[in-house]
Amino acid sequence: MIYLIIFLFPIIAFTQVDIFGYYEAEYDHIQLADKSYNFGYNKLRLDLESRPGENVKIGANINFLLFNGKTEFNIFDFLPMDSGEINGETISSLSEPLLDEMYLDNIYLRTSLQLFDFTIGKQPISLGTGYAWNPLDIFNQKDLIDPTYEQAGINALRMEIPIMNWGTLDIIIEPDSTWDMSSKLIQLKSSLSSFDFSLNGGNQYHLIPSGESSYAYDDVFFGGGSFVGEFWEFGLWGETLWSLDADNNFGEVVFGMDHTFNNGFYLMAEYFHNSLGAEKNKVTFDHYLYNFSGETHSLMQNYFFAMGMYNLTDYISGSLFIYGNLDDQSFILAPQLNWDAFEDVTLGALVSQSFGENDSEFGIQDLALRFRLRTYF
Amino acid sequence: MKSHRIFKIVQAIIYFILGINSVVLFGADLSARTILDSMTMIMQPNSSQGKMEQEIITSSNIKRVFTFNYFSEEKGKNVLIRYMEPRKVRHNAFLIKNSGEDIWVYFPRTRRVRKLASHAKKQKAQGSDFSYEDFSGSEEWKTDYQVKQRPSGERKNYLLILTTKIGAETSYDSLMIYVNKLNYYPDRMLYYQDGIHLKTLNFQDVKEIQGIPTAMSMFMENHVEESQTTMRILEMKYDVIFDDGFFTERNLKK
Repeated sequence: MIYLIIFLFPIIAFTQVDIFGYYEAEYDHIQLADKSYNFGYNKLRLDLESRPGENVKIGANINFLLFNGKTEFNIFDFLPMDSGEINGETISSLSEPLLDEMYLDNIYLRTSLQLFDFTIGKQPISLGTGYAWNPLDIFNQKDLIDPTYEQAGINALRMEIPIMNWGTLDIIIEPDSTWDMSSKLIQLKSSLSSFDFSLNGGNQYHLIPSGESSYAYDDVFFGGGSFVGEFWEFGLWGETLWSLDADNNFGEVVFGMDHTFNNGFYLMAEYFHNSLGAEKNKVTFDHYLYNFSGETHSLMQNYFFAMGMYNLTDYISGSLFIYGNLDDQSFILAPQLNWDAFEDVTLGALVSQSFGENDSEFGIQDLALRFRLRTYF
Repeated sequence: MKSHRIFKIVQAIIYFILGINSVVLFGADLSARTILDSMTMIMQPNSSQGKMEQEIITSSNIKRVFTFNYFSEEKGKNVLIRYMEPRKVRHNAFLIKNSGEDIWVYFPRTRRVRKLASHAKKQKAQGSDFSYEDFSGSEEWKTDYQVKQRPSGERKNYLLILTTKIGAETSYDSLMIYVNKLNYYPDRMLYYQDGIHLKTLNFQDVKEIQGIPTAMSMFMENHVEESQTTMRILEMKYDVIFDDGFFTERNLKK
């Protein structure tokens, strides 16, 4: 990767480079059962794009992040337990610091040849048809409070091969220290009538269920697919990825639907099942850790997400979303306002209120407020 | 006496010629269908490529300007739009195929392509008074609407009334189209929904590009929301030959 950066930066420096990006400021307040915190950040995202040839594109972006307010959190503040066990040692405090940082989020080269497109480098990858969850996306994890926020770049090789006028074969490899440890995904995408669909196969060194409610790691082969289309004026989509090991079968599935009414009101809902998540009344500290680190796409097994959105004026949209854990009956209700204040300036305000028992996934979070300003340049 | 008869014959011939001319000029006997066919043929060339500017003025008098590249083939059946300005939507792109039945939207920051259900075609494109469907071709008017001609009350224009056929899925109940008698280019279109006059599209500053009449400015008024959108053509060329696979998801992401 370092060699790639060394190779690509001079090209970006000496060819005509398009520079754009945004500045984002966010202020958050979170109210927990017996304490509250204020925190936030200033972020500058600098995008660089160059096209040294008609079929070659070099893209990069640098993120600068400065945190303010509370910058160190104890994970146990967000867990319905006072202590946990790591490597046989009982702990009651686990610190997660937010450090100011500057990092190269993406740097990649994409070339379009006659028979295929090839992308190498740290690149944005986004797979699947789901909105809040994407079982097919073995490279990323989404944040339920903001599912469309940009995700970190993935260091990968990607080849997209059009197959006549029939569809596209997509091959993605995320290299790691050995071939076995590397993540691989192959996707065959096509359409049938008004539906787009894909068939997927993957291989990843992944968490697998072990015993009653614990995990181990193993080399896992996956199979799955997705579809998106419409039926009787309702948009429909779904995707699934499942392990192919008959003895240790686990996986994820999501289904969703949406509709826009004639008055412009948009309504969507999704259901998600993750068999790798904890079963009801069997949540352990480990389950939380694996979920926080992104190793599992959810803490428990069954979830829903629903959103309604309406343009209150030409430049102010109001939305209300609700998502929850169907296993422990806890959920979050979050109204949101977005205002396109100027041509390149957006302001957002979000309130989220949790409902559920204090020992449930979302019930512990209580109230949160978020203000976000973003200016594009 | 003989000269008087000759004068009468010449007079009759002149009246006859004038009569034929008036029929040709004002098309009194042209069928509504023929006028619609002529109009769609002229206003929707086979393929086109251009750069456009879209100026939106809201009811609260806020102005926004978008610039985008526009590509179309098969008389507007397939359309690709790539936004250039403002920065917020830079490189966002839409692929509209089968006259709005299939819409894909591309977000460059996440390199994500999302397919929209066709009910989205009725929605405003980037907050303008044009819907995604309005960007598509006009060929569906022939299949989805019944067309009749009515007196326009205007010397230079025909008036066509289009009403939805039973079972056809359209965004508008009816359209009133004023068509220029000389070049068959639309002068203005009135859109009706649930019996309410929703929008009026005015075609202005018509110039010939490669021999094809082209409105360099299209002015859409939304009478319900009291907003307006002006679409100006900055560059345009017709009869463009696109590579195979130009109107595909692969090209959307380029």
